[in-house]
Amino acid sequence: MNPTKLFPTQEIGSLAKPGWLVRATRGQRPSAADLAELDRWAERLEIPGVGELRALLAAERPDKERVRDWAALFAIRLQEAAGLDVVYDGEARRIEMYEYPVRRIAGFHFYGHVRSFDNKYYRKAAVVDRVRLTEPFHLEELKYVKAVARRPVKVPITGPYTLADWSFNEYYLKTVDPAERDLRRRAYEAKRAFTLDLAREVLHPTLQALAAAGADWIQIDEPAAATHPDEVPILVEAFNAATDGVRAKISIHICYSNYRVLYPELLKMRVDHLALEFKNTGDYNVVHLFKEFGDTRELGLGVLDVHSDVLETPEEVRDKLLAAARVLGAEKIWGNPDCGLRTRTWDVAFAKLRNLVEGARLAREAVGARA
Amino acid sequence: MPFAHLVGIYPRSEKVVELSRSVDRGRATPEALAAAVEEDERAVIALQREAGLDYITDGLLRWQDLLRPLSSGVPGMEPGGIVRWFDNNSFFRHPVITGPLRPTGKAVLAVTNLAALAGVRWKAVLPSPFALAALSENRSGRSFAQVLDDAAAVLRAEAQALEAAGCVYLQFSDPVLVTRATPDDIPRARAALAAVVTGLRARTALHTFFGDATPVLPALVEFPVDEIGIDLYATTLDGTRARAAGKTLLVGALDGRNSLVEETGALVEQAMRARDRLAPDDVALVPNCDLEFLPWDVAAAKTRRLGEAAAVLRRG
Repeated sequence: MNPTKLFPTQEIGSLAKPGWLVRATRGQRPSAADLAELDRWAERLEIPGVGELRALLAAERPDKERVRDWAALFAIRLQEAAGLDVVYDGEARRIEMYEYPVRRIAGFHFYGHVRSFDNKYYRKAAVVDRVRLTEPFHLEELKYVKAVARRPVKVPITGPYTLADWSFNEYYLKTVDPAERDLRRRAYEAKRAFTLDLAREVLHPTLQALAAAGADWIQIDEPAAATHPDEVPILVEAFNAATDGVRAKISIHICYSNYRVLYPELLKMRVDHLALEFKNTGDYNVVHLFKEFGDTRELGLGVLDVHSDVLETPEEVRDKLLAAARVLGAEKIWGNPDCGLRTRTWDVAFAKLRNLVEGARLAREAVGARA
Repeated sequence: MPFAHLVGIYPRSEKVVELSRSVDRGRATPEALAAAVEEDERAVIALQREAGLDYITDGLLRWQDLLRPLSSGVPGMEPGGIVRWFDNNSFFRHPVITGPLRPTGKAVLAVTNLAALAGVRWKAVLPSPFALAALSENRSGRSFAQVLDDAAAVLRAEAQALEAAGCVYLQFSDPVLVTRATPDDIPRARAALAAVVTGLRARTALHTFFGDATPVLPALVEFPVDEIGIDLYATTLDGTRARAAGKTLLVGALDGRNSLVEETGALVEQAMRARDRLAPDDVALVPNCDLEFLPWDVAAAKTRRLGEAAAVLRRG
């Protein structure tokens, strides 16, 4: 699935969950403000039949799956209305990118909360037994998206290295050869065994199932990729094991990282496209890393800061895309946000995505390509 | 004589987690949260005493991160944006230095539960002056050397105040020296720490973590402190020629970043292995880093295990 036009655009994954979805999943009725937002976006995105959604939300016990279908539909239509070339459902059905998949894998146990920062916490699971896939996940959401989307679809899924890195490792530490006394090497071996099991036993069958269900493009999210530079070989080995033989376009998304530590090992990764964050740091020189290491794969250039309400102008987007194109060639460059836009309101997210699309059009115009 | 103690921020109980979230959402009062934190502090102190640890902390439960009491309590600096805390999936607010730092000696005492620590041999944990300066964003227009001098003056005032309040052990935490310091940084880090500790009566330690300590260990043993700490989950002892003679070595063998509770025998073995390889004057068992990366119940189990291992070491 390679769009013929230059500078195609994509979202990276998550959008904010509408208030009516959040309340419904908590078993609460929507507020008047929630319903006003629902109506406003239904009208703006020209979504018919929302009377059914309102009726669902008014029920004593709303059918949560049907409500999530509606939330997915709204997110898809938002991305289509913005003009993106590839869309998904804003991860409307997922709690977030860690706990959602972990809850669908046998072998994990949740002890309690750990702190992220300040008074923010997350549930961190420990792997206490060999991991085993109970059933492939994201299939139902993919089927729904495929049924209603009017544009090509890309399904995001959390990668094996990040799932391992964000978990405690008990089971695999116990499997390390007891003759190994060095705690650092023991931890490394245990991490490798854990990550490879996730890749082979969980991700691989899930990716195969997604491809069989019609996923033309799968994006594997690995935000932890560069966290431990000495473990980049594990990242790459697990990625290749997870995607081995999967008949779909495969991309990786990495953000807020020092990309230099990934090279040259990253060249061994069998991946078609790398979607990276650039706007946050402003360090577009990272594009030169591709040049320096002869990386000829597609580059998804993060040109929207997902942690700021300040709108990037179409002209700024155009200039960034063109600057990357001058280094790597226009046919390699996609435009995207740095990461998922879930921390922005839909108004801000929509405006940013519209400017992304317009900036890409201006870039095509500048290189004399057909808009 | 071998002994053991904690080295940093302890995790929050599920009750405090829930209350702190509720306070942020306006559903609980700060007073209710403060009472729950106080309850946790007393529980953490009791746990350490029961485990037989040699120095006791209040768990640093009022600290949002290692640098926050200073960044929010010292004139001339303020908490900034969220930055990843080394190679963890957790974050801290990096201090922003806006002008000359003014020592007060009040910042850490303001978040220390002195009443709960009364009658015990208690330790305080501070960032090293180098870590404080290196992890801050300098918008003051002053040079790094000036900022480092300021940081040392600030920490000296804090250390003196803590000592005057009864603290018998001062630990200076520094993950920077073993992860991203350059050779030029080592002597100025040493000089800054000397400016803090000279003349103090309390026992002093420099604890490193998240990075391999062996490359800098020959330099670390020259630092003007009684004890040096290393993170055995980031440090490979095999093949090193470094020695820790003249110091007590804090052996970070209890993993603060993994939930598997270590066997007592394994902890003892690691302490002896570090002693054999690095030849310090003495060894102590400690967590490699703060336990705040663990859930409350797991941290409690690990704290008890630390005490059990230290007891075995004491018996020889």
